[in-house]
Amino acid sequence: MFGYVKAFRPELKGKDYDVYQGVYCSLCRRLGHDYGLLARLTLNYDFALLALARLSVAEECCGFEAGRCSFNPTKKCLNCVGGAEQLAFAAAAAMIMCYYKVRDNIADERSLFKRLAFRLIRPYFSLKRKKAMKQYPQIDEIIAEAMRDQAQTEQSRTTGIDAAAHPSAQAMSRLLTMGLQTEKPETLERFGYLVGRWVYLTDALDDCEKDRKSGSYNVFNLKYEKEEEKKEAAAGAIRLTAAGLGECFEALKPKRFGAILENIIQFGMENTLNNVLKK
Amino acid sequence: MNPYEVLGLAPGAGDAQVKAAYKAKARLFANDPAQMREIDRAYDEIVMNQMGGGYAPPNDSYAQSGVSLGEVRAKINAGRIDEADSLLENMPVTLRSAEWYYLKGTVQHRKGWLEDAAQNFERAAQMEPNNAEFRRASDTVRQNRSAGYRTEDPSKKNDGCLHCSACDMCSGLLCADCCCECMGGDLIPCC
Repeated sequence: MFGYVKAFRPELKGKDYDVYQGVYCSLCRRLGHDYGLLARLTLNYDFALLALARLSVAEECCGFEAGRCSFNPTKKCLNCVGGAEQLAFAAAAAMIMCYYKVRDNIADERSLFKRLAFRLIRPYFSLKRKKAMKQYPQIDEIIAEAMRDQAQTEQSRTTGIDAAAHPSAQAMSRLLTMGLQTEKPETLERFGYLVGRWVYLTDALDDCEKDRKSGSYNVFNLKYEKEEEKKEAAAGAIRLTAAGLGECFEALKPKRFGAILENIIQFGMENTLNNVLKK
Repeated sequence: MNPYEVLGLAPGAGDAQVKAAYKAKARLFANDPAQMREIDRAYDEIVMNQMGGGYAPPNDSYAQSGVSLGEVRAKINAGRIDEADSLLENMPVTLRSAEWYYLKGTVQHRKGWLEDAAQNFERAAQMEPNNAEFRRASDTVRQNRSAGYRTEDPSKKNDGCLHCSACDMCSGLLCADCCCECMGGDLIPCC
């Protein structure tokens, strides 16, 4: 489900790409530092975006220094100096999200073997979640509420695209704005909302086939019957969200990392969508 | 026409039946504004009659509902989206004009409910095809659906200054010379 929001490298300037990788690497480092080696494996670009977006509007500036990746010491990368608060936040959100994802999978997974595997790793994530919760209890509240709302929406089997995406969108909006003092809180809220909406809809489109086979809830499967029509409508809804996000980004005028965020919205999202459509 | 007939019901049908019939019809004719208006009017008439008192659907003013769309617009501009939405929701279905749908779409757009907003913009533009505001909104949605987010091409951004080649300068001078000669003067003495 994760890793949809990525920058599109061919259109990104070298310096911006280094910074983007640097934030990603620093988040990985932070995960390792706070939650141990195994936690690093849960790293993905969606949470890198959360860190990046929070850093881009935060008061304190984060600098970079040259360093090396500890998994692959031949690879050089930048390390964030400062900005620890935002990175720790994103790491905590990632851990808590993973816990809920594992819990969800235990409930949904049909294959006995996979369910057993998820059961085995659950205590590990439960432990990490408790640690993250100690520092950021609100994150857990936000995600737990989103999960509850999502379950409710799925039970109602609504065919409304907006209603289906709302819980995820709202959770992302809250995660992005939590504890940040900015000049334009409403714009940032909307930015988060649309990012969450985009991720939800793209995930839904990606899972169409799988959900149809397993009979799970999927808003696009319920709303459209013909395969062609479904894909076109879903792609339209996703692009419409990206366009709204772009407008919102222009109004946001982030303090830094503007070029990277713009690249993600303009090219990265379109690229991901095309990959999903091609599948 | 009898409102019950419009909804395909026997006169005196119960509350739940009316509601179900209205929903079924509305779904059927969602793409036909003329039919929708008819169905909405019939539904309102039945509901109003059931509440007691005769009810004649007013033609054009919002006076009866006590709020004007201008007020809604003011609230939207002030950023009080929830208040604007509740004002809109309180208007009876028969009074919902193209502008109502446009404003409802605006409210939903601001909340991030982009699909519902798109539908309402589309409906507003269908009801009043000549209104530039509504048409612009629905056109923008259509464009964004197919293209996503596009910034302007930077190579085209500098079009503010006109292309000024040597040819352009010469023809400009010639033009100025002609004008001068018309008025009795001369800018370029040799021609």
